[in-house]
Amino acid sequence: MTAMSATSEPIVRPRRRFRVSMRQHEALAALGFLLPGLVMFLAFTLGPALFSFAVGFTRWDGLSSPVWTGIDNYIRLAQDPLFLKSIVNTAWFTLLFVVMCMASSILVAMLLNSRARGIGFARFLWLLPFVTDMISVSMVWTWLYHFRFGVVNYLLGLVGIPPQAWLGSPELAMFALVVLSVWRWTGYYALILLSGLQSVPPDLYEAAKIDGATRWDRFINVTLPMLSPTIFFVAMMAMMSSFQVFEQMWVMTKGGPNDATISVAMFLYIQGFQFLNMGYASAVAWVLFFIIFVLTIINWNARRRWVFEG
Amino acid sequence: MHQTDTEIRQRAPSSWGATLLLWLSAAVVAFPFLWMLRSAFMPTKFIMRFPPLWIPPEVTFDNFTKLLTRQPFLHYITNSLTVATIVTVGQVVISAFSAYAFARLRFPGRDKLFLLYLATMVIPVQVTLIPQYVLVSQLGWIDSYAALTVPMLSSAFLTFLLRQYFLSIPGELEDAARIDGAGYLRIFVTIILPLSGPALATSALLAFIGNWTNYLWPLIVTRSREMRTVPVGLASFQDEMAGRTDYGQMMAGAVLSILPMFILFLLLQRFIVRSLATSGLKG
Repeated sequence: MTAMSATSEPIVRPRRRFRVSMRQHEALAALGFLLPGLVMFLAFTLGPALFSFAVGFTRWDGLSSPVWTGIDNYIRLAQDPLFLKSIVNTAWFTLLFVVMCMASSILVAMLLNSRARGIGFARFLWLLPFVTDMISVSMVWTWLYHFRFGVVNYLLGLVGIPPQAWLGSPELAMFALVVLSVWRWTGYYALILLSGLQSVPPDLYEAAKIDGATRWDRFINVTLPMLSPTIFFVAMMAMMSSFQVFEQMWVMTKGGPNDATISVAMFLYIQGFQFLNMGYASAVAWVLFFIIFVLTIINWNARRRWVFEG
Repeated sequence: MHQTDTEIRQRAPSSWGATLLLWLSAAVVAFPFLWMLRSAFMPTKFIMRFPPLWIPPEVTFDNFTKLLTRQPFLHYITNSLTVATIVTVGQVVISAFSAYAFARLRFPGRDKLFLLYLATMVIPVQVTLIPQYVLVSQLGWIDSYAALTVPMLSSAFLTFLLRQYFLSIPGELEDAARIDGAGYLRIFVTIILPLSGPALATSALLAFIGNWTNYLWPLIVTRSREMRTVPVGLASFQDEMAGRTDYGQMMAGAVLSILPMFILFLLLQRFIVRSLATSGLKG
């Protein structure tokens, strides 16, 4: 190897002019490789993102020419009770979802990290909800939650709890939607946590055991700190996706009852694609982006407090 | 983070309590699917009964035949498969090309451009939705395969994923090929791609799942029944029944929607579990 690089030395060190043209050649090649992706990126991602920001300052139905209205849309949003409601709902959904989902994912990751017979099949089952589309899943859960014939009310009846209108009562509907979302996402997040769990050095557990730590001690003092970077990462993903929640509400409650489950994304869809208030809807999109962005920054800074960087 | 080809190891010895809990949890997660199957194959008169019957007293295909006369479900499935396949191939190929440029070639502004790609990953889909829709309708693509596929072809996430993988491939192999006079395209096709099998397969899987489960975009850009994908078709079926929902038919629809993914998942089970476990660098 050294002999080869020694002999090739004069070849790879060209004169100055030649080197410049080599660079240009490489840059041209890079352009060729990038071009298909770059065109798509500009046309369908970056371009639309910038355009949408501009549309947010107009009144526009998507067909006629837009009317510039300045920050009017944002002022109206700040006073739109339904929009404010949708923000509160979405925040509430996100809080419930992230907390419940993290708890269940950590538990399931630990269960899946075992040598039990048929563990592969158990992992398969836990991942199944993740690869099925949310619409089918929502249909199935609508049926499970059915007030008169639903199996959820039947099972609760067995332990003496009276039937609940899961999707029909403002207090319960959001909770019911969170439960099904946790069911759908837990397996995926647990699987990611599982790979974090398996990279914890076994000697840490051995050492803790020798020091007389109980199972619970080991969980609190070894597992959680070692897993915290992965938990942080999964929690961020969960937060970002749940702030965009749409399908569950759209299929199961249509935002009801009494707008108790209308989400920001659903408000946006209704404004943009049913009322064709595209300027207004674009402003909603940017508020959504801003909220997610700020939360991400806050979490990122809070990272130092509770994430253990070994 | 490139453990795509390492097995998920099994370490912890399991007590009978943990095993019991494991199977209990698996039963809970499987239950909605089982209940869906049970209801799909049950005559309506038995479905609407309380307390519910656990086992169907008789099995029927009525729900499926009725559903298929009302909705072209098999057509929806063909649409979904076609769209997801086109988008998957397109995303992986286009992202691999871009990723190679970002990982291996030097050009002015490379890192800034890559950062821009990364930055767009935190933008929620809702932000680009309206301009994308307007653009697609200006192009006259509404209600066509072009609308369902073309805007989805670029993926900053897959570009990122593949770039990270390409960076982990040692450069010596390319140097040798370059000395032999191979061009960039040849190096990419004969050296980089063959070494990236697992990463490409993982990318394809993520793209396929993402597209199969996508609802919002196909909802917005399709008009006619003939262009609907599975989620859109299923949701519109529910809307049409509004008020007098036939749960047997609805569950039959859910079964048909889930079936293709279920089969795919069953066939590629080990690979899928491994891929998804390492897909965690998203975001």
